[in-house]
Amino acid sequence: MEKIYKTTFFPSNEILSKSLNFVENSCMDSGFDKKRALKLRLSCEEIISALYSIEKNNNPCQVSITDKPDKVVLSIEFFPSGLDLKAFNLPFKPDPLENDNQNDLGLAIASRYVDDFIMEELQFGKIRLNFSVNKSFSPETQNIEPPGEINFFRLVKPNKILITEFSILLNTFYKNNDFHPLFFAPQRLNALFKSGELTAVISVNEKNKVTGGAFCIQTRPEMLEFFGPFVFSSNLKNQTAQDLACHLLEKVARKPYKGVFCTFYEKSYFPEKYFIPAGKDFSQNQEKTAWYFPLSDDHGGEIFIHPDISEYVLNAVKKQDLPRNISILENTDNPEKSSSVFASKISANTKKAVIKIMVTGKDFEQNLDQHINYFKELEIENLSVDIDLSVQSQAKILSVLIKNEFNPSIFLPCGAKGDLLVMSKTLFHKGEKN
Amino acid sequence: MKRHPSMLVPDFVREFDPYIPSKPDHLLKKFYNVPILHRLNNNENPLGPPKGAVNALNSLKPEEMAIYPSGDAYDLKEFIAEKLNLHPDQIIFGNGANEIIQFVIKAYCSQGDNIITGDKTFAVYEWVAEFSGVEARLTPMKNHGFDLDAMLAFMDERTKIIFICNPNNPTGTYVDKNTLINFLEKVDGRAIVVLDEAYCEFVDKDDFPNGKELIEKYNNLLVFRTFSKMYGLAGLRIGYLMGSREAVFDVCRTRIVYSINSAAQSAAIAAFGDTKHIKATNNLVSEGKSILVPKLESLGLDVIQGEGNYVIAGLPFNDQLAYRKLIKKGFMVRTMTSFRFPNHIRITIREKEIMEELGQAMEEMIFEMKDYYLRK
Repeated sequence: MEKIYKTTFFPSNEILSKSLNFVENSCMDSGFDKKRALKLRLSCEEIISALYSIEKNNNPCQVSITDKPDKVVLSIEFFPSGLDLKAFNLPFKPDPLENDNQNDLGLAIASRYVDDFIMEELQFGKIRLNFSVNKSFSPETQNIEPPGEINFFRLVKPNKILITEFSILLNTFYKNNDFHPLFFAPQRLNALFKSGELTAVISVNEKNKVTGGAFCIQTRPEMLEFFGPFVFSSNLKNQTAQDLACHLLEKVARKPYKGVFCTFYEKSYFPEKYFIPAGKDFSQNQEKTAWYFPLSDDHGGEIFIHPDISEYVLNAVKKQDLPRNISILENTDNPEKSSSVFASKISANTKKAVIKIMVTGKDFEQNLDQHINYFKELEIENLSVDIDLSVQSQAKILSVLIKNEFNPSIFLPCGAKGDLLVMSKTLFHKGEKN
Repeated sequence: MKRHPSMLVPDFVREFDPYIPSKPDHLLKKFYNVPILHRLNNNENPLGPPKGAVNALNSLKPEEMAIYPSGDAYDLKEFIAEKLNLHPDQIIFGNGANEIIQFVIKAYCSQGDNIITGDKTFAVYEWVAEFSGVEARLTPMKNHGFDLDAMLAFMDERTKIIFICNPNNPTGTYVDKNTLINFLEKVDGRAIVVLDEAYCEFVDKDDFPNGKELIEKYNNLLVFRTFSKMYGLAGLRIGYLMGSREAVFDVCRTRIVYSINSAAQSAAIAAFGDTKHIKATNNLVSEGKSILVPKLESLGLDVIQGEGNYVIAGLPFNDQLAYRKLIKKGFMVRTMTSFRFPNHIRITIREKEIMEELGQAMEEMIFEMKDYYLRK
C-alpha cells in the first residue's frame, strides 16, 4: 500500500529549508536512494523558491511525497497567481543571461530533473504539480527455458514466485523488443502486485510451471492498461490466450475503472472478438489496432466536438451506442489570454511522445510548433496529443492540430467526462532520418 | 497506534473488489431514453410466484411486521421436510442460496484450505471462498460442462468442498445420475460435495439426478435449492440446503438465524410443490426456447443451450456493445464477462411475444454491427 507524507505551509524564506528537509526525510523513510531523492529535492527547491519570490504571496502551499511501488511522487499544490507557467513547456530553453524572470528558469529546471512531470488543475484555479522519479529496478539477466509443448494448463492466482517466473519469461521473450527493459522487471511487477496495483492471471502446466500470463495496471486516470495475453508454450496458444484474457477481464470487471485499454499484445493469438477496436496505436515502431473493453455501465454526459473532427467522433459514439449529449462547436475561436502549457512524456525506446494539454492558451499553435521541432530534434517518430472531449477549450483547438497534420487515432470512452480523443502525427517515416 | 481503517482489512479481503450491481430499471430507462425495458438478465420467472404464494403475501398483516420471524423458519422446515420425506434436522434455510454458500464455506474451511469448482459457473462459490481466505481452484469446463476428472485431479488434503452447479448456470449442462454417483464414489468422503440445484425444477430428463435421493447414502453430499427461480420469489430471498443430519448440524454452527423474513417463510410454504405453476413455467420456457434458439442460430450466432430458463448467445463482437444496443431496443440481457464468457450474452427465456420481439431486435443489432465486426 502506498505511503503518503504531507505538510502545508506558507512560502517563505525560512520554510524553504524546512520543506526541503521534509522531502528528503520522507524519501529516506520510503527507502528511496539518495541520488534519486535529490532530484525531487531540487524540483521542490525550484518551485518553492519561485513561489516565495512572488510578492505578497499569502496562499498556502501543500507539499506531499507519495511512495508508490514503482516511483516516488512529489506533489506541490498552490495558487499559481503571478507565475508564468509557460516555462514548463519542454522546448522552453531558459537562458539566465537573457531571461529576466528567474522564476522561468526555476520552473523549467524543476520539470527537467524528473522522469515524469504533470500539472493538474484543481478547483478554484489551484494547481497541483506532480514530479515523479522512478525507483531503480535491476534489469533481468536470468533466463528460463520456455515450457515448450504442454498437455494441460490451468489458470491460477499469482504469487510472488509465479510473478517472478512470468516476468523472467516475459523479459526473455521481449528481449529484442523496443519496449523499456525495466518495465517488465520482476522486482517492478512484484512491487506493483504487492501493492495491489497490478492484477494478473497466470497459467501453469501440470508441473506448475508458468506457461503464460496477462496483467492489468493503471496507466491513465479511470483506465486500466491490459498487457498480453502472453503465451510461452509452443502449443495451446489460442486456448490459453483466450482463457487468460477472459479470466483477467472477469477479475478486473469489478474494479472502479471505466475500462481497459490494450496496445501491448501478440497479434497472432490476441482474442480480438472480446474487445472493441479503439483506433490505431503507433507504439513499438509499428501501427497496431488499439483495443478497449468497458468495465462499467456508461451513463453518459456531454462532450464537445469541433466540426472538423465530428465525423470520426460521431461514428465512434454511434457504433458503440454511447449515451452522449454531443455539442458540435459553432464558435471555435480561442478566447484564451494566458500562455499555453503542455506536459509531455517521451519514450526514447519507442520513439514516441505524448502531449497532454494543461492550458490551451493564446499561443497554442506556436507552442505546438515549437514542441514538434523539439521532438524532431530528439528523433521522435510519433507524436500524439490527448484531448479530453468533455473540456470545451480542448475541443476548440482541434482545428490547429488538423492543420498541423494530426489525425484522430484513438477514441476511448470514459463515460463522457474524460472521453479521450488521441490525435497523432508521424514526425518521421521509417528510413526518413539522416 | 492510530491506523487507517483500510489497514485493518486482511490482505485476502483487500484483494477483492466490491461487486457493483446494475442500476435500477428506472434509471437505465432514463439513461438510455427508453420507455420499456424487458428484464432478460436475471433468470427471473415472468409468471411471478404461484397463486398460493401471492395469496399468502396478500394476507400478511403490516402490524405483524413488528414481530421477529421464526429464527430457523420452523414451520417452513417442518412442512418441506414432510413433503420431501426428510427429517427437519436435514434442512437449513437461508436468505437466498448466496447466504447458504457462506454458511457452508464458513463451516468447513479455514484459511489455506481450498474449494474446487468450474471456471464458468455461478461465481458466488469462488467469491465467498476468496474473501474468506480460502483458495478457489477452478477447473476449465469441458464441452461447457464440469470436468469431473480435472476436479478429482486438483483435490489435495486441503480440499474441503467441491461445488457443482447442476444444471450449470450459465451453460445449462448437467452431470447425469451415473456420472455423479461415480464421482461421489471417487471423492470417497474426502471432501464435501455441494450440488447446487437452483434450476432443477426446469429439468425434465430421466438421467438427471435428484440430489435429495443421494444424501442418505453419501453423508458428504449437500444439496442447495432456491425459491428465486421456478417459484418466482427472488425478491424475498429464500433458499435452502439439504444433507445428512451430521453435515447439516455442522453447517448450523455458522448459520445466521432470523435472516429469513416472515413474508418469505409464508410465501415459500404456499409456493412449494405447486405442480401447476411448474408446468406452466416449463411450458413457457419450452415455447420461448423454440422461438428464440432457431432465430439466434439463423443469425449465425453460437448458441449454448441446455436445461434452465436461459440460453447463451455468442456474438462476433463485444458483449457490452450488445448490452447497450439491446437496452436501446428495450431489452436488458446479461453480459457474460463476469462468467468468463466475454462476447457472450445470457438471455432469460420469457413469453413467446417477447422472444419474437427480442429475435427481431437481435437481427437488427447483427445487421447494424455487420460493418463493425467485419472490419479488417
